[in-house]
Amino acid sequence: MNFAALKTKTVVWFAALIVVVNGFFPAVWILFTSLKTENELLQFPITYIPRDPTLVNYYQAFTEKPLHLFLLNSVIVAGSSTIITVIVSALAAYALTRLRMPRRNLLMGLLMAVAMFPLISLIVPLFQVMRELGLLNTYLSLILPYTVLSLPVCTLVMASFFQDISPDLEAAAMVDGCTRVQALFKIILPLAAPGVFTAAILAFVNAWDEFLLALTFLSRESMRTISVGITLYQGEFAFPWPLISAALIVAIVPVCILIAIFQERVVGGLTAGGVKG
Amino acid sequence: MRHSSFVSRLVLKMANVQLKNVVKQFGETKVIHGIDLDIKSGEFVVFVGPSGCGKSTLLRMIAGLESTTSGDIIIGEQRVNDAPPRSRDIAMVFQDYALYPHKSVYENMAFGLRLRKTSDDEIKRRVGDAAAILQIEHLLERKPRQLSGGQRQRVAMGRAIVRDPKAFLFDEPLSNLDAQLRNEMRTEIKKLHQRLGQTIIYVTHDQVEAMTLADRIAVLSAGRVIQYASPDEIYNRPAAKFVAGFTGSPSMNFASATLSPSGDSVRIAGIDVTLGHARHGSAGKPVTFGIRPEDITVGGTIPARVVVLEPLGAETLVTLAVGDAQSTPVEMVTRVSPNLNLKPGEAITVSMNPAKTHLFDPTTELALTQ
Ligand SMILES: Nc1ncnc2c1ncn2[C@@H]1O[C@H](COP(=O)(O)OP(=O)(O)O)[C@@H](O)[C@H]1O
Ligand SMILES: [Mg+2]
Repeated sequence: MNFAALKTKTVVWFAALIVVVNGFFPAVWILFTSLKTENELLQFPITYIPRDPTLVNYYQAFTEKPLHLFLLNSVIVAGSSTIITVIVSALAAYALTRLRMPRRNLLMGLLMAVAMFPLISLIVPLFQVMRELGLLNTYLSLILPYTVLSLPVCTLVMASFFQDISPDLEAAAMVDGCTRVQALFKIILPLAAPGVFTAAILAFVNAWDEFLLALTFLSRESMRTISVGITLYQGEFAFPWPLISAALIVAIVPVCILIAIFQERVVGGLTAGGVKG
Repeated sequence: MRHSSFVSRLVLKMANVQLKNVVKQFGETKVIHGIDLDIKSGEFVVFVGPSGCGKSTLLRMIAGLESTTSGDIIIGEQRVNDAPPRSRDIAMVFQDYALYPHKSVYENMAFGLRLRKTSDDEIKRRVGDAAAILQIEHLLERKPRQLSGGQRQRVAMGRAIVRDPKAFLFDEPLSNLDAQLRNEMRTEIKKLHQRLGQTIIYVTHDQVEAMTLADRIAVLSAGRVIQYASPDEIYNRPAAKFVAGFTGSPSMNFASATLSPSGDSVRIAGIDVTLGHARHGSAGKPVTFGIRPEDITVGGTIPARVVVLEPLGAETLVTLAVGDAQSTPVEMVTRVSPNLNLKPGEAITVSMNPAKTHLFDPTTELALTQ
């Protein structure tokens, strides 16, 4: 390796390191806090690594509030909206990239514009709609808006993947005996798997993290999602740091697991059969 | 014999294809202007023409991948205009092969059969048979990206063969291969047709492929069929200047000429060239004269000067300036034996085979036959 290449490599690694540290430091800090007792937390000088790690905060987090219910609600809401989003945006992306369509670029532009609407401007009209439909305090009141909010970005992501797939592949599939929709699901989607998973992760994380709509539309405690549920540990005068940290870790873990699984699939899809046999 | 039973099974299904006044419009632009073609069962027909003339569009209309604006497409005895590709029972080989990248060679070939709910045993037998014919048995477990261009080409053909379709459609299947492999695969395709006897419609812009493969050639230009005939007829009796210029390499020599009052000779650059037969219909009028390089021979009565020599080994291409001293000469190419030892600038005489001369109307560019 020559000197220039080494220098480039060093710079890239250094940049990557900054990103990783910046991303992981808060998470690690929260993890450590969640393992400390309230006493240790208030000690001075502060300890970085917990002196005697304890799981008592986790126990408390689940007993003091129905954290398992918050989790379940979030899984239902985020999971459903992800599934609907992926299916609908796959069909939309297919139409945008494959069908002969007048004003395709205008449509793409509109999608971008919709994706940029600030949520706060939608909350009042959405609340009205949900109330009229009698959907307040139902999962649908979140599933529907989350789906709509994720659709533009997911559609654009998938469209960019579909664009790289030769239209002749579908033509071949259709001559071979597929309907158009079968060609999409049997040939195009498997090839666009990295795009599908990227879209799925985006949709899921969007829904998992969302706070404003969740706070407004689901007011009954048993219906709270995790992002809102975590704030409920906060008392009027007290802020139980270790407890909240434990709840936060519980909220982060499913997303981490999901991304880990999907990432494996994404990479797997890219390299399957790539080894010369 | 495994192959012969496979072949006899295949022969049952082939069908004729008919196009009746077929038109295709993309929005306001008409790209196919009313084409009539009759392709016999088992015939190898080549659509040939310059890029953009509508060959692929016409082929895709037959496949059902493009809608038909008006006219009828008939496969077998059925009008298929409104049938989707999957129910037309045809197979297609694409220029970029269009192999499914995520499926093995075996699964690529089996895909169409699986969709038709063929039993696993039958699939195994058919894929095995086709792989044997195409000599790709050792590649069945590979993914398309692990294959060379020629191997992918074979797999694409295998995928078509196993389906035992009514007709095969090929869209420029050889144009992504290098010259040597292209010749090899061309021979392979011809062998395959001789063996299976299937109806084949083959699109190419390469006149050599058209001449070597076809039973009949449809020469297309700007969305119209200019001539539909056997390669021999296309080459020796082109119906239009376009067809004459498109076939042969180097292509036919053309020159502006005037037909004599008797109609049995033309005057080109001050010299008289005898025709094979008289054209009384245009006697005395301006015409376009045409003659192929191989029909001009050295020695005779027509004065010419050697301009450029291009030795090709087996033969030498000679560009001549033909004409008498008083007129502006006309450049024509001929092929001669390399032993002839001509020099640039040398004055020679040539003769033109009267039976192989062609005349075209200078405005309509159609052949003048009487
Ligand atoms: N989807 C389409 N929309 C509009 N015009 C098209 C479309 N497909 C082909 N054309 C036009 O039709 C003509 C014929 O194209 P094509 O059949 O691909 O030609 P070839 O295969 O002979 O090169 C071209 O002028 C091309 O621009
Ligand atoms: Mg083409």
